[in-house]
Amino acid sequence: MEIISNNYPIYPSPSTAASSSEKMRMQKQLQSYCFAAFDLNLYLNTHPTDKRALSMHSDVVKKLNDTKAAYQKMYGPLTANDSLDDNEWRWLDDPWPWEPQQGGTN
Amino acid sequence: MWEYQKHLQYPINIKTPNPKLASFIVSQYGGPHGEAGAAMRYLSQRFSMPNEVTKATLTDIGTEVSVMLPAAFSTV
Repeated sequence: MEIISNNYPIYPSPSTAASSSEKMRMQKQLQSYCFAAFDLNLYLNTHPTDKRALSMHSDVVKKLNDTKAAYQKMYGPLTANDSLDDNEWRWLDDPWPWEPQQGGTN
Repeated sequence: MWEYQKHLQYPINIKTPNPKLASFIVSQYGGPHGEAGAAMRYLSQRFSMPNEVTKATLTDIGTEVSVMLPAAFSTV
């Protein structure tokens, strides 16, 4: 699902530009699912019995968790408690999200 | 309570750094009229809310604002 849409197609935007790496593509998926989940979260706060929204939320969260699992397998933990290291504490690893990413174009 | 997730909220790809614009963006976040202040107010006010909807909404919105900070700073 294209959660982050580009309303001005003549201006290239990071959300629609070809991702320069698999890592960036997966991050974009994470960002999309997180956004959708939070949006549904806010809606469900005021419409707690909306069946369609409930099933959409479950669906998005499942996709989010699958994407998280796949991402973490390849690129390391997304939260400190996702670290299952017995060799070295990978939570420290660069880059941190506010820094230029490997495989990125920044 | 909260857990930090090691990814940005939105993709960011700065081709031409603009420090003035970056500091403007960050100024929207801090200071007396900034989002960070608002987040603290939401997170404090939820404790005196009378019903589930308001407690949940203030918690969720207050949490969401904290997510925006790394994205704002990555534009610097």
